Amino acid sequence: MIGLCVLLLAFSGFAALCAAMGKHQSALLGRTLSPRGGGALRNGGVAILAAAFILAVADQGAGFGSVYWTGAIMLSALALTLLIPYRPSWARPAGVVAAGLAAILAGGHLLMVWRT
Amino acid sequence: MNGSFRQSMAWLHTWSGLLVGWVLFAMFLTGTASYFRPEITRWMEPETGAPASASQAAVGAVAFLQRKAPNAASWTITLPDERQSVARVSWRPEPKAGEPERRGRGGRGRGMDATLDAATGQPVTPRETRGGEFFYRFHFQMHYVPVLYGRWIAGACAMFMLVAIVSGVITHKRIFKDFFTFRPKKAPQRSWLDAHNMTAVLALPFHAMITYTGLVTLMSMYMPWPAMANYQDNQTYFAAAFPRSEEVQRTGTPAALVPLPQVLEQASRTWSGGRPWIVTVNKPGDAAATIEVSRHSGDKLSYRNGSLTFSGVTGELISRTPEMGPAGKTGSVMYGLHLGRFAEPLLRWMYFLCSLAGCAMVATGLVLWTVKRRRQLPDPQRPHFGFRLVEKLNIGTIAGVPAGMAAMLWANRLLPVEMASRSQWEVHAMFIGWGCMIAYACVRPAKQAWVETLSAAALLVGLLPLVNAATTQRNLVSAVQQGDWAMAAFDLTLFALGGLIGFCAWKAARHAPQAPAKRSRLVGEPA
Repeated sequence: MIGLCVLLLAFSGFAALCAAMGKHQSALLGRTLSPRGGGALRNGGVAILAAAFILAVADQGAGFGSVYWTGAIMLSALALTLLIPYRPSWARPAGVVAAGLAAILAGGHLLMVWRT
Repeated sequence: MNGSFRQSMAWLHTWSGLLVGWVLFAMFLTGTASYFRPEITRWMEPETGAPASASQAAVGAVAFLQRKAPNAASWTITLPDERQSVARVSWRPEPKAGEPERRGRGGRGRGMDATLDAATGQPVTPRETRGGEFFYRFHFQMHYVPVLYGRWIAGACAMFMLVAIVSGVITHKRIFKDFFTFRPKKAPQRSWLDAHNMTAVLALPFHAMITYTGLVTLMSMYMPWPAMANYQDNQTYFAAAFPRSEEVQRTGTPAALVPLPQVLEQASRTWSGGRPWIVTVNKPGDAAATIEVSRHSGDKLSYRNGSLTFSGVTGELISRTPEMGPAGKTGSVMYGLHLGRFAEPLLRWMYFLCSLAGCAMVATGLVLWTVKRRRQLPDPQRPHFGFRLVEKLNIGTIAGVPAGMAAMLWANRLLPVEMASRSQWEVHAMFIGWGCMIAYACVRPAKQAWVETLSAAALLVGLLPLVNAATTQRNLVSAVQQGDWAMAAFDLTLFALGGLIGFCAWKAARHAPQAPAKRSRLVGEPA
């Protein structure tokens, strides 16, 4: 379950990084961001990817976790890049939903660990 | 200076990639399939059953060997894991007086081996096939050439690949700017370059890892000098690098063998939950018997995880292989990363998909070579020989390798079970299929050749689940009913891959060639 969570977080992290880039903003967000807004979004994306890494390592250990995280970021970036030319308007909701789902999964997992 | 450096790197990238591109594509695709080697073997041996626990298989294997070869010098049992449905056993007779004792994997291939059902321990005789093992072997040692030459060819290709990766990263000026960029509707050259960049850059960690670690797996062959400088010969080197348990002599006093599950459980406890894999019983039935249990290669990132030796009578732990040094560990982790045996299903699929991205990277690179040059041809209707050669090989290989691999699976189902040298003909089917595609591409105009070879490949791959259902007891519905998710996923994956190739054929059919561009626009563009 944490594995899926890492994959979802990686996707939403890249969606944020992509939306922070000037050349993708109008396609993904429908508007252009101020430099500060873009910077904040980029930092947010990096933070989400870092959170995914911490989660993967905490769940599977440093060795397996970092291999898994590397696989997750490669495939989620590929999925996002394939999505953008065909359905650019889906990228933002998909990123938000992925982050939300990841939060629910991680929350549920924590709750289960805490109760047992 | 910077400009010319980048241009020379672009030249290097273009030609190092093109020269071995077709072999690389075949290596990449068969290597990709090898992530599902046990599943492919299970599919190609439809006479075998479902996976069962290792200790259950161990009981059956010992019972079989005690009946079949009670006085053997040693037994070797390769236990199944959750992906395999059979245990493979082999035995080695006592050497005759004066004959030196041979070590190694027993009598495999000399009539002293058997395949046992994991659940019942009964011998099964699957049809003669090389299974998933063939794709795995081919991807680093080729076929129809001696194994050593094949490994040198594979190593040279991997080295070219490494050169292409490094020079490609230098050539690509906009790695971060174009990170998420794919423009399928732009001009062909733009779209193909985007596709090549996307599959290369986004999975770059995988491509770099797989190429480098691939070379590392055979480094003692490619670079034998450090070992040669420090050891008398290869055997002394391997004995020092990968120590084995001590040899034992028969005492002549008979003694009952300790129950194997008890030993396996103790091994697992010693490894805090690790899985036993290959079990060697030395001098079974004798008071001096020992049982060597090696740890599953997928338990850690590292591929070689050592072994434990137990007394065959009391079950006591006698010795364990020493910890590897830092260099040995590093090499072993690289080996393990390349094979991905440790990967749980989700991660295994990630390996598979990244590896498919690698195939796409090689294929798009090959296509890009022709797309770039087509516009510069003096007469696009009559291209020069080099251009035609590349184009035909591209079509015949990109459609031909998957078609050939599928042809091998067709042959597995359709060749008569009692046929002589059946497994060799399965392998021939792959190369016949691939060769036919190249030949076909040579006699058809490029566009028709793309559409028709890709359609044929799509049908060959996508129809396999139906062939499976028609020729064996197995099919998608029964696999789902029995909860045999591996075989169900196998059929579904074949449908999906057939669909993917079919999609490529459809795109090729809809492709409308562009009017040739004015030559003046091309001045100053890198090759």
